[in-house]
Amino acid sequence: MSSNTSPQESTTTGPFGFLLPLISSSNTHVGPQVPSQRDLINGLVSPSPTSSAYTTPPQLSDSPEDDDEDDDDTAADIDDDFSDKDGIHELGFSDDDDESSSQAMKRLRMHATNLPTELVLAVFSHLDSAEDVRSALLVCKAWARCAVELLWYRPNLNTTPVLLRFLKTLKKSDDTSTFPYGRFVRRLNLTAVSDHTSDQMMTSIADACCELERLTLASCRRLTDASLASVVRNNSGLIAIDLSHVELLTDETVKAVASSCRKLQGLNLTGCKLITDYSVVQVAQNCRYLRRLKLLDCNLISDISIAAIATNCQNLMELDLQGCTLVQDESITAAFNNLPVLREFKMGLNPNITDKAFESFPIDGSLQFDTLRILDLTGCVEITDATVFRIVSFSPKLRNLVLAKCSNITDNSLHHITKLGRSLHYLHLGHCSLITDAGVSQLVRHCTRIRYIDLACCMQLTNNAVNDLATLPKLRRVGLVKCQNITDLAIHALVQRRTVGLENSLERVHLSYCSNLTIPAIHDLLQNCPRLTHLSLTGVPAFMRSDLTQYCRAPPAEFNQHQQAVFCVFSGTGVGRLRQHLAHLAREQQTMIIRAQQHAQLQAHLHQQAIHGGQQILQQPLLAPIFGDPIIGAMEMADILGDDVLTTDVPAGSIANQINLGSDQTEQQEVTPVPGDDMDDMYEGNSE
Amino acid sequence: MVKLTSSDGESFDVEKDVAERSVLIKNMIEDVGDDSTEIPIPNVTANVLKKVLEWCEHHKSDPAPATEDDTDARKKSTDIDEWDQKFMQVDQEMLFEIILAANYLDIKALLEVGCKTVANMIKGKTPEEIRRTFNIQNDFTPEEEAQIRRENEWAEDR
Repeated sequence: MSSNTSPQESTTTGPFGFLLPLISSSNTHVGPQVPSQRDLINGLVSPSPTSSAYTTPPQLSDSPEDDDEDDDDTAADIDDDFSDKDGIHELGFSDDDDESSSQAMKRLRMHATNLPTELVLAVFSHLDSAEDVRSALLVCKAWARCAVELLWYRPNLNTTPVLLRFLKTLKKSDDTSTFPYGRFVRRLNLTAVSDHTSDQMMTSIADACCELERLTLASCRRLTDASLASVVRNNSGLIAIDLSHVELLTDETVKAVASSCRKLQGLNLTGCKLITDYSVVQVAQNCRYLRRLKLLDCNLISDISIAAIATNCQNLMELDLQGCTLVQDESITAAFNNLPVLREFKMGLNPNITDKAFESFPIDGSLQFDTLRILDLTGCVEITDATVFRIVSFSPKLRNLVLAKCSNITDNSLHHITKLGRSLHYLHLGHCSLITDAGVSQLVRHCTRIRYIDLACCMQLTNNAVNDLATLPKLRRVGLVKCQNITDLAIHALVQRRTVGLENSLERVHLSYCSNLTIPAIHDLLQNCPRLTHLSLTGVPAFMRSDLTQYCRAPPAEFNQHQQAVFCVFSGTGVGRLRQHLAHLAREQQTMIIRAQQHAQLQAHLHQQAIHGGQQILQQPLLAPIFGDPIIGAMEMADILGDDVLTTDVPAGSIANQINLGSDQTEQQEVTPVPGDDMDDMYEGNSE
Repeated sequence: MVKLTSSDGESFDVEKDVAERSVLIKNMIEDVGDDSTEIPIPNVTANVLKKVLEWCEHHKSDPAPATEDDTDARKKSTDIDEWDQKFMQVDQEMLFEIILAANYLDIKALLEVGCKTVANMIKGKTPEEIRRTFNIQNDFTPEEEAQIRRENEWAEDR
């Protein structure tokens, strides 16, 4: 038995007495968690002199059964008793490690378990796998106390078996478990296992967890008020709740949020179509710290809610009302006028929004919402250039502007947007089909910091627009879906552009249904844009080939058969593989071209020889090894080249017809290489 | 120059900008308003202080630490620059002493390097291997260990 054992402690604290390291007298079964450890983990490792200095209990016996001195470290809470570790050097450690054994010979003044708790936590915070934290937890009691909170703080519940085992421990929490695990859980995210969540599980969580700060239940469609309301009631410290697409959710849970979670800063109710003004008004009135509110597609929400939000939520930074189709112009005006720190406002997908919402705002710059950075008016089909004019006048620092499907927008809007100058980073003009090259040209001259631009279905645009876009030095993402006028020349411009860094900055390029594009142009793009992580080529006839589509990612499950058939999007590693494949094809083809040329030369030479008899030409010895013994006949050569990747194994005809792109077979034929000059044309420029 | 005195009475003359890698010393110098006074470092012995000052000397012209936004990225990576790796090739006792001193003297970057070094010694090891590495006695009973292992089993899957 160790000299440090104090028998009465081991009897008063029970088998799991080591839970109570800092509490010398306690009658409770379960030790309260050590306060403020969380803060320490978060980097507030202060030079505090009050280190806990847990010691390893000295132990002479090898038999762990005798080890009942659970609490002998309760006394060791002063810095300077490091020297009080008699006996530690007597421990019979294994000799695997020379250094450690030689150290053990000395008196160990400083030892891993002497580190103060906050520093052990600082060390553990650098362990990025839960498995490492778990291993640390099993090392000794002192480390267990440090690691357990870290391990349970934000459990990584990414598969169903993990979730089930996690719940198993939680369910018996407090009565017989080693730690009150539920209290350590601060951030809970069940999105990855959303399909397997049930009210029963949530009820277990509600019973065990009372310290949750962030709760993310996105798409846990089977959950209902039956469990959610109690989770919310038991966790009044919640600051962020994501209940998006928990579609059965009703006002009852949202009401519970309003009455319990006064510290709430973020609430996401996207797709909770059953909730009404009744509960949202209560949230607005009670949750004064609310900074983010998403009500996307909550189509029972009306102006009543927005009025309450505008009146009460002075801290609101993000408001998403997309698809809240009962919301009228007046609410939009009120939100702008009353929310002083609004940063992000999404009001799209609501045909009720008209120019009226904005017409009270002056255009002379006398009123400015300096905090506004993101504005989304997707599908507000009624708004016109006049509204864009007002928007850029009152929000000079706007960074993201989304006007997709605002079909009245013309080049005049682009002229107004130039006012934003270098503030603008992100512009979405998809389906604004009145826009022309002239508008784009003007935009690009002034808004030189654009990183992201989408011009999908702006069908009037030509290569000229892309030439202008190519001059944007920071361009990372460009969307040109269905800009059917553009050709390989546009791609060439994107390839040749000068960018800030050494590399072409393009990362995401959307070219679906740009049906004129050819393989060589895309090959060129891939070779010159090393950062490319996304390339969409759906409905581009030249790419409807199984040898290329094999590198595509899988089409989304919700696509219909026809959509799945034409889907052609390369992302992540798929881009790299396509790049390699096209490079391989290019090399192969060049070899063939050379061979064809040499073959032609040889033929000509042989022909000449036949005519002139006996006159040797220098090149002949060089040609011989390439063709080897049998000289391939002209017909065979044509077969080889005709077998070229660009045509034969292409089911393109059928698919292209299906999608009714008007993909004319004649164009296909034009692409078909004919031995000789056409082939050179195909890959001209690639090698440069 | 600043004069620092270790807990065991040894004095070190160091350049002010080297000493001021320590926020504690920096604040003390500011409080005193006079660089010439001797600054006692009562919690750090000479051999450790010497080592810490060696680190401060090498890092005296490092840029200011990254803003708080980067902390997550920084925490995640346990990359340690080459010089620091070599610097940290000391016996465990010294390693922990450096960590304690860095904490006391409030030298965030050094504390970080120290903690990362220890974290790297834990990574990928079983509990038993960790115990051997750090000479830690297993103070769980077999029952306790089995229970705590069971309770935290879920964290094995990654």
